[in-house]
Parts: sequence; C-alpha cells; structure tokens
Amino acid sequence: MTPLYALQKITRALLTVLLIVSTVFIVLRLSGDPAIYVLGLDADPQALDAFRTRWGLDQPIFVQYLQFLSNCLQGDFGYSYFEERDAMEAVLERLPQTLLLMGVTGLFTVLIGIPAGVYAALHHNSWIDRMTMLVSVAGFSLPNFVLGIFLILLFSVTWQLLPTGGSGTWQHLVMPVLTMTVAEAAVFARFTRSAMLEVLHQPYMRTARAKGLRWHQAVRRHALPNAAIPLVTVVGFFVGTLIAGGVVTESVFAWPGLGRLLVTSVANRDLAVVQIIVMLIACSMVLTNLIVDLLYGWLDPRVGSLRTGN
Amino acid sequence: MQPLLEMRNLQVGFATELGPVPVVRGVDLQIGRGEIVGLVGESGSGKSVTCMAAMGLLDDNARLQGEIRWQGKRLATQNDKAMSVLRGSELAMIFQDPMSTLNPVQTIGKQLYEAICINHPERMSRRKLQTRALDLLRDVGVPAPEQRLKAYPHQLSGGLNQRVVIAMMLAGNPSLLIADEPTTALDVTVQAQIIELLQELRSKRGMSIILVTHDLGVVAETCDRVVVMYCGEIVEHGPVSKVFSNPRHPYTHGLLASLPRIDSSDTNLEPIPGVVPHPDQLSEGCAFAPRCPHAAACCYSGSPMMQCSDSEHLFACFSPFPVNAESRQAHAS
Repeated sequence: MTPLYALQKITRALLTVLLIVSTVFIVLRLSGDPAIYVLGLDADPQALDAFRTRWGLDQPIFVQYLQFLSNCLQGDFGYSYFEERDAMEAVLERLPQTLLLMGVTGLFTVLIGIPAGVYAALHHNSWIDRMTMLVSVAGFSLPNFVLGIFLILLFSVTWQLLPTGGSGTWQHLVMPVLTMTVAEAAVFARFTRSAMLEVLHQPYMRTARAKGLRWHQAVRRHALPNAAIPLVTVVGFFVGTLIAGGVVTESVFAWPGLGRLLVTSVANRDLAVVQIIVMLIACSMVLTNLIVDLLYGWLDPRVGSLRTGN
Repeated sequence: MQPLLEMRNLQVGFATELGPVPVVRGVDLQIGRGEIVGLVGESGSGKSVTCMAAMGLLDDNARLQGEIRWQGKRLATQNDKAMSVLRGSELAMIFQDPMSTLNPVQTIGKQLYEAICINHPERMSRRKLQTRALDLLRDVGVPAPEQRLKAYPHQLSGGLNQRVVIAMMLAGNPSLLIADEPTTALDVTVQAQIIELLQELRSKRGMSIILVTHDLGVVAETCDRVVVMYCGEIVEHGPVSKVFSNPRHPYTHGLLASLPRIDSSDTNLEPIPGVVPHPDQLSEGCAFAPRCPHAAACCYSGSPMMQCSDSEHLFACFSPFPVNAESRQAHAS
C-alpha cells in the first residue's frame, strides 16, 4: 500500500460526506416549513415570521447553506427546536444505546454467520449446507418489522417472558438483537460460504496439500485467511444495513436510540437533529468503507501495487 | 526390481447428478526408480486424474477402484491422513499454471517454510529454516534467492514461480515428482529451462518423474518411456525410441503425424479427425474406433487387449500399424 493510494481514498471519503450532508440539507429545507411543524398550523403569522427570522429560515437557501457549513466547521451543529436544547447534545445522549444495540448485534452476527458459512462450504451440497442456505434465505427475506412484531407477539403477548419495548435490562435487549441478528447473520453466512467455496477450489489449495498438508491444515492456513479478504468488503455493507435495520428495529421496540430519534425528528422537521444523525451515519459508513479499503490493500498484496501500477 | 509406483487396473469415476462418469478405465502402470515417464494424450484422456489419484488428491465425488502401490505397499488413497504423510516426502506434484498454484497473499518465503516444516519432524530455528529455503531455491536455479523470500507470487514471472513450486516440492526430498503439464502456461524459452531443470533433478537426485504433457517433442527429448492414453485407457506404451519410431497404435500414429516437423518439406499436418468423446458417451468396443482410419468391424464390438510389439513395447489395437523395417532390423541384430 502506498501513501498515494491512501490519500486518494481519504479525499474521496471526505467528498462523499460533504455530498451527502449537502443533499440532506437541501432536501430537508425544500420538503416543509419547520415553523409550522413546531408552532402548529393555526399559529399567529407574526409568531411564524419571528420563528423564521430567529433561525434564519427567511434567508435564501444558499445563504443558509453557507451559514450551516461555516457553523459546522466551528463545531456548532445547530439547535433542536423540539427538545429546545443543543442538537448535538440530544443526539449524543442517544448514541450509547444505539452503539450497544449495534455492538451486541455485530458480535452475534459474526459469531453465528461466519462459522455457519464456513461449515456449509466445507460440507458443500450436503443436507446441512442446504438447510443452512434455506434458513439464511428465510432470514434475510423476512423484513425486520415483521420479525420484530412476530417476536413481540410470541415472547411478550403470548408467553409474557420479555418486555415489549424500552431499555434498561438485558431482557430488553433480547428481541431487538435477535431481530437484527437474524437478517445480518444470514447475509454473513451466505457471503462466507461463497467466499470459502471460491477459495477451496483454487489451485493453491491443491499445491498446499501436495506439499504434505492435510485437508484441514490447508483449510486453516490457506483457505480461511484468503476467504477473509472478500469478507472484509461485506463489513462495509454490514454497517449500512445495521444502521438501516436499527432505525426500523428501534422504532418497533421503542428502543431509545438514534434510529428512533431520526424517525421522530424527520416527522417533526427538527432540522438540526436530522442533519446531525445523517452526518453521523454518513461518516460512519464512509469511515468503515475507508478502513475496509485500506485493510484490503494491506491484506491483499496485489491490490496496492495494482493501483499504482508497479 | 520393485517398481516405485505401480497401478493395477486403476479405475476412477466421478459421481455426478447424471450418474457415475468413468474417467480412468483400467490403467496398469509402473514407474521405476530414476526414470522419466511421459504421459501423453489429448485433453480429457484421463492423464491428470490418474496422477491426482496417485497423490490422493481427487475430489470427494471420485470413486476409485483397482489398486495403487507405493514400493509394493498398497496406498489408501482416500485416506487423507495416511496420504498426507507420503505427499511431499515420497511423492510430490507440480501443476500447470504456476501463477495460480501459489497462494497469492503469502510470501514465497512463508510458503517455502511451510513446506520445509511439514516435512521435518523436529522443530527448526528461523535461521536454519531460512538457510534451507535458500538452498532449495538455489537448487532449482532461482537467481537472488534472498530477495525472493520476501516477494509475493505476483511479483515473479511464471517461470520463476514454477521453480519456486518445484523448490517447495523438493523440501521433503521425494522420490517421485509428478509434473502435470509443468510448461504449458510458460514461454517457449522458459519451457526449455524448466524441462532442463527436471532432467537435472533426475540426474542429481535420482528422482523419478512422471511428465504429463501435450508436447511430444519434449517427451522425445527427455523421457525414457512414453505412455499414450486415450479416453482413460493406455493404448500404447514403451521406450520412447521404439514408440516414436514405430508407433503401432493408430492413435499414437495420429498424434505423431499431427506434429509439424522441421526436417520435412511436407507442410501438410494431418490432424486426427473428430474430437475426444465425453467419458459418458463412449461407444462399445475400442474407444478410438470412431476416429480411427483403420477401424474394422471387430473394433466396434470388442475392446482390444494389450499385446506385445516386443518385450518392452505394448499396444492395444486390433488393426495396428505394421512393424516397420528399421525396427525389424534393430530387432534382428
């Protein structure tokens, strides 16, 4: 990997964030007047005007945009009209809950998805392989909200084992995590399986065995590490689907995290909060993909040298 | 003397969704110490599968019958544990495309060290390991071996990679090297170097070599014996000089006639008409009959048995080419 390769990647990442934030900024401003959402449809016109002047909403949109960018660069991300406090503060308060949900889900996804995929690939075309793939198709075909509501019906309503929503104890965590893990682990299992199958039939596996390695040794030393390379790219997508799934799952289970805050803030046209959350999501996506790219260049010696043409 | 490797009526079939497909159909083959045996035939004649069977490297859907003996002892070719002990230390194999036979994300050094470690019972220090790896690379003629240890396969040329693979296979000092079309993917000049290297291994280490190839020129130059395969069967085998100067089987004759010759003004090559039939579409009788210019009625009904042209030269054909004058003279003297 060369510095040039890294620099290219970082510049591209920054541009992506800027593009996403700008789009969101403009779309939000064009899609409704926050003054009406906050003060109500039958509010006094003078009050509405005062609100707009107070928050600079009466300015032309490009002036608002430049103001927004300059504020952002100075660390001021705006004010939440709805919660009537600093928007960043409101967002950061919810962040730990979402990170907890994502962390636990991520852990289970990796612990279940990868071994299942490896096992299926090693027993290619056996009934175990077919079963694993069947379960996995079912897993990622099932929308989060359907599975979530189904789980609530089963565990909360029928058996009364778990709380329907909220947070605080590990019991609260079970259903949201389960809902998200099913879909994520299914995708991971499929990717792992196909990555493994690809690698298991490479000529270098045969060479490894011709040297005297036993099958399982060749798998451990040559197949698993090489299959991990394409799998790293999946992690990039994974963070994206985790966030998207999180928004739905948090809403279903009334989980007090960023996803639910995003949904309510969009509905209330709480512009600053939406902007911050979108920015956070964009940054985390871009950052993950940046890390994936750099990691790729490090894991696969062919990548860096191809890009620079040595 | 006891042969190093012996196959007796080896049959390999592959279980597919459409039922078993026979790919090797009764091969009898002996490889002695220090000899280079050429295994030739068109693609799909079962050469590679025969070799993979001996290495115990066939896929799980392969069904194997008959026996393979190593120094008189029967090999449990489907037993990975037993075979892994022999692989690398007794028999080793090199492959067609050297660029993909090495792990692309590991350095040459790491892959070499691995080969050395597996074939050494006691633990070796890093330093000893490196010395041994450098020795191996030097043995196979890799220039500047110190730099190569840190290189990745994609940074080396095809010819160098093939030398590295050979070095890896020599780590356990095997008595037999199976070279499955080792030069097919290489430049002509590099081909000659690799073939030269193989000959050197035989003369210096007394190693036996099975050379699977399409190149009859290479066989003529390097091999002691040649085995001609067609559709999973051996159709003719014997010393290279005898088989090439007096091919008895029409298939061998066809292969030789389809080669361009530098000493002949006749520019017309004679390709063998038709193509190799798919293994599950073999007709009854001799498998070559549909393409054979000599085919008689009996060729379509019964399979020809191996018969002797002389004590060393055998072929399986009902209507063979006659013994030519040269050979008859050689025989008489």
